[in-house]
Order: sequence, then structure tokens, then C-alpha cells
Amino acid sequence: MKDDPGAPRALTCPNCGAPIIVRAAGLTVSVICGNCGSTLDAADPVLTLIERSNAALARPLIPLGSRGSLDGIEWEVVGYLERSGDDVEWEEYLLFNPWSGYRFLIHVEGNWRLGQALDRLPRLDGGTALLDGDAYRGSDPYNARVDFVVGEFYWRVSVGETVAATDYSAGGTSLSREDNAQESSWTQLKDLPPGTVGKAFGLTPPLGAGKTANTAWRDFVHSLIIAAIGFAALLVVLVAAPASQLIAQDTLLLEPEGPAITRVIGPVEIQRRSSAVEVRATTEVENAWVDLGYALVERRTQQRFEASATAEYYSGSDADGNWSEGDKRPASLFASIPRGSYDLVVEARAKQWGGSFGGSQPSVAVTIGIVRDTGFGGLFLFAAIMLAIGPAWRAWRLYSSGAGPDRDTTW
Amino acid sequence: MKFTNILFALWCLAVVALFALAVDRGYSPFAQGGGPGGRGGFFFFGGFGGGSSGPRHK
Amino acid sequence: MTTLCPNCGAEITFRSIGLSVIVCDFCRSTILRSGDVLSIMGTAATVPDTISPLQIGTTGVHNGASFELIGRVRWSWSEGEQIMGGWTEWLALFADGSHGWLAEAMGRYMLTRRIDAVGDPILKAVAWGEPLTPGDGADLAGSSYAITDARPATVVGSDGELPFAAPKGETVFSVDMIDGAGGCASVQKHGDNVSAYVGRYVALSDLQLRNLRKIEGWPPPAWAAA
Repeated sequence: MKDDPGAPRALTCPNCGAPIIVRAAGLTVSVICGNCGSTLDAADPVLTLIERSNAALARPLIPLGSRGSLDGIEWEVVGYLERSGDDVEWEEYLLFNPWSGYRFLIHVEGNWRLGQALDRLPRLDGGTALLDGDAYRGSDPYNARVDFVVGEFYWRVSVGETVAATDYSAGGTSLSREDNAQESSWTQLKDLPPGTVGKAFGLTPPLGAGKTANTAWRDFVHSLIIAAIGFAALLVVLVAAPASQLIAQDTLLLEPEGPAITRVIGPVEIQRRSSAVEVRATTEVENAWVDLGYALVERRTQQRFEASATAEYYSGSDADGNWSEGDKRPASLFASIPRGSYDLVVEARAKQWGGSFGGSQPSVAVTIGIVRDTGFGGLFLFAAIMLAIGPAWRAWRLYSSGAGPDRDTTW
Repeated sequence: MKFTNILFALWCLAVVALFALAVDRGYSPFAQGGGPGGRGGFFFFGGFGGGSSGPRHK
Repeated sequence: MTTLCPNCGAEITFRSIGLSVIVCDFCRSTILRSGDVLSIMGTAATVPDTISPLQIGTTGVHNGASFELIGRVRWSWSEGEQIMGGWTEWLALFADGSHGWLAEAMGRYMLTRRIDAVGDPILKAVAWGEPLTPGDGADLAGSSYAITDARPATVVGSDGELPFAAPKGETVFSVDMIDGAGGCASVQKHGDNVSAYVGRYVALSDLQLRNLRKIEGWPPPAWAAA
């Protein structure tokens, strides 16, 4: 037996009968039939069936059995995995060479990386991993799941298997740590320059976006669609909302620097379970201000809700030119006023600004309008911003990955 | 569809539901006075909380 | 030393002075050597074919010491009924008569030698069967390591000359450890005996290997030519 050459083992799938070549006999533990997807036990001399499947298999971009040189070593593609994390999907090719062992070829968002299982343990210092004198900054841990698998592997592999993964990066090199219940394994990954993999494995760029279409772009589009549906729902709610209605109005005449005036305006009827009430003051002040105090008082229970506002307007000119400031028409919103019959008690006082640019007004008219079921604008805007968080985050991811819809893969 | 997108869809659903509830109850977090969440204004002279005292222009 | 197999009469050659066990290439009897007396201990199971470039007779040099691979044991480990993986330990006989193990697992190679360690807590922990968790630190013979796995290993088959008989199904408890710079170690419990091994991860290309096994469809790399 001594001078028999080592050879791949040719076998037959016990489920579908398709030929299976075990390329790393003795090292391979699980084989996933490329024809039917069944999981076979390669540690057993006759392939025994572990999990039967009749799934139609997606074909990896680089076919199993392809050979190519990376890092000066010729590699054969023996296994292919599709995996996903919390917000990223990637593909892993298991490469084999009988003299050099295994490497991982990782394809994530258009970029390729070559990984090698570490035979030494990085030292952890907080969120940083130290290896061979280099410091690698750690990411947040995420769950990495196996979504699809075909080919042969030196470990037991199955779809749905999830490990906790953490990435540590330093420039073009990174470390990946994967922990399951039994052990943690470390892989060192190096970025491959664009074009390396395509050249090594003799691939031509696929026409259009294939199954390796940029996931960041797709995620962005998905989140945009979800947000648009949410926005449409917000509009529907806004249209279906009770119509706003001016239910009372009165005008007060104030003397600048004169006494405060109290006026009761009503009734303010709240018929629904609870409503928003907005008190809008309209004035024509010039270099003056009006302090307004509002109290919404329920006639029977005397329950009161209070608010205040200032109507003011100032203008003048200085070395920088003309200036003006102030709000002549302040609005005060009362939220969630319960059902009942209310009076609005208004207390108002006008003041003249005595500065060097001070003008003078004989009297100030303040019109108070009470509007029911209004004031949803601010909330609508707020809700819309909340919906925009998703697409904004995806857009940022897209921007930071440097990819676009047309650059789906870097050959 | 990815887990994060499903999460985001649920988030959107929650935002729309809360918005609908707020509209129905006349609630606004930006309100000055009123029921839950509203801040009561001051109602006595000589100490208006947001009272003015002339322009802030310098 | 060349002699005849007490079972089948085939010629068997001991290349080592000190190793006590040889598996007859012809009838697969496990033969125990005690002085000049040979006795049969049973039949060794065949090692299933693997794609390894190593074979009995492969020579190499490590740290200036030349060696030859003269025996091997194939191991596997299981979870429940299912075999989870296997590896090969090649016995390397050095020119000075000492021996070490070239372990071949998951496409990686470790060269280790047995040491006489005493007093390290890890030895006691293994001896007493205390639970050991991967990731935990352990000191052995003055070096610090982290445990990578701790599990029973079972003999699948054996060939050539060995320091012990390795009948199929024989089980040891094995704890593997690595450090931060390529060093590795293992502590094994077989029956009541605990033994310790220390060494390093090695690349085949660094071992000046000759007489490698040919592999169908793979031209040998430049360093393995000639």
C-alpha cells in the first residue's frame, strides 16, 4: 500500500445516486450532495445519509472542483456556504490543497477575502485582539447562520447552524472569531485586490446582477419600500383624522403698559373621548409684546389645563443693517383634553419695549381663536422621521461599503 | 428578507399605530398644556415662565 | 533489526531501538517486542485511506534534527453515535533515537514530543477527570496555553512501529492546547496514565520532506520535488 498514490474517493449519493467525489478523503467529515442536497457522513467509509433532501441547489459562482492559485498556492474549491449575520450576507468557499491544508475564500458585498484558520490564539484586551504585535479593533458580536451549504467540509455542517461571531479589524487584515458551545475558532482574513479571484479561477464577470447582487443595495431598496408603505399609512391616518374646527373666537384690546385684562371665551365643547385644542393668538405688535396666560377650565368639574404664550415683534437697524425678531401669532397646544364643556380664561397684558428703537402704539388688538382637533403636523413630521431611520441607516451602510447597484461584484 | 428588515417593518408598524392612537386621543408630545405629557404654563403675572422682556437682538 | 512475523512469517523490520510495538504490514498482527521475545497482541485495524501527502518512510528535518515517519495511529472523536472528525498521528523517529509525533488534523500539522511534566494542575485535572472548558488557560512545563478542546479520542487503526499497541476502539481522553505564538501541547489520559506532549504547529514546506506520497491530480509543490 505504501506507494499507492492518494486519490479522491469516487462514491455515489445514497439518496439520489449522483456521483460524489470526496476530494479530501480522511479530512472531510460531511459531504452535501451537489445534486440533491442531502447531507452525508464522510467519516463513515460508506457514505451514510444523515439528512435527506431533494432541494434544488443554487450553484456557487465558482463551481466546486474549480482550481485557482492564490498566495502562490494552487487551491481546489471543495465546499461552498452561504451565511448571514444580523445585517449582512456573505458566501464562503472552502479551498483545499493536500500539502497546504485549507483556506476560506469569503465573498461579502462585492469584496473578496482569503482566510486561514489561526494556529495561535490572539490575546484579548477589552474589545481589542492582539496578534503578532498588531492590534485589531473588535466589532459588536453578531449571530452568523448557515443558510445554504454544498460540497465537503472537515467539520459537521448543517443549514440553520448559528454561532456567535465577532470581527476584529486592522486595515486590510481582520480576525474573525466564532464561538459555539464547545469551542471558539479564529480565522485571519486578508483583503484580496479586486480582480484577483476572477483571474485565479478564470471567471468572466457575470452579466447583470446575478445572485451575488450587492446585498447592501438590496437592503436599502427593501428598507425604502417598507418606509414608503409606513409613510402611506401615516397619510391615511392623517386623512382619516377628525377635521380641525375653529370653535370660538374673541378679540381683546390692550393698552401698552396698561392693566391686565381677563376674558372668558367659551364654550369649548369636547365631544370625543379626548381632543387636542390649540389657542391661536393674532396681534399686530410693533416693538411691543403681549404676555398671554391661558386656562382651559371644565365648567362642571373645574378641572383646569394651563398654558402661556407671548406675542412679540421688534425691529430696528444697526451696523449690520435692518433686523427684526419675534412671533406676532403664537399658538399654544393643549393635548388630550378629556370630554367636557370648557371655558378658556385668557389673561393678557401688553408691554412697550422702552429701548432706544422703541416705537409707540396707542392700543394692541389680540384676537384669540380656539381650534379643536388640530396640531398633528409636528407629530406627523416626527413619525415620518422615525420611518426614515431605516432607509437612512441602509443608505449610510451603502455609502460606507462604497458599492452601488451597478457595481455588484468586484472581479 | 433579512431579519433586520423584518425588525424595521415591525418598527414602522409601531410608529404608525402610535401615530394613529395619538391622533385619535388628540395627544401631542409637543403640546404646551393639557393631559398626559402637556406642560402647564404659568398663570400669574410678575413671573410668566416664558414671559418676554424685549428683543434678544444684540 | 529484521525478523519474521510470529504470525505469518513475513519479514518485519524494526527501525527503532526503543519502540516496543510493530504492526505487520502483511497480516496486520500487532507484535510486541520485549528484548528478543516477540508476542502477538491481536490484529490492528486498517487505517482508512486519506489524501495525506505523508506516508511511512517519509523523511524530513525539524530544528536541524532529521527524522523518518515509521508508524501512525488514526484517531477519531465522536459526539453520541456520530463521528465528528478524525486525525492521524505519525510517529517520527529522530536520528538520535528519540521520537515525536507529527499530528495531521484539519489540514494542519503539529510536531510534538512527550515530556516528563510533574506538578502542573492541568495534569491533575486530566487525571481526575475534572471538567475542562475550551478557552480556559492552562500552564504546562513553564508555558501558558489555552485549552482548545477536551474530549475522548478513539483509535480507528494503526500501522508500522509504535511505542504502544493501539487496538481499534481503544479510547484516551485528550486535551489540546495552544498558545499565542504557534506553540501547542496536549495532555492525554489512558487508563490511569497521564502523559504530556509539547511542540509547535509546523508547515510541511518547512520540514524538507522527501519520499512524500504522490497524490493523483496534484503535481507536488516545488519544495517537495526530488
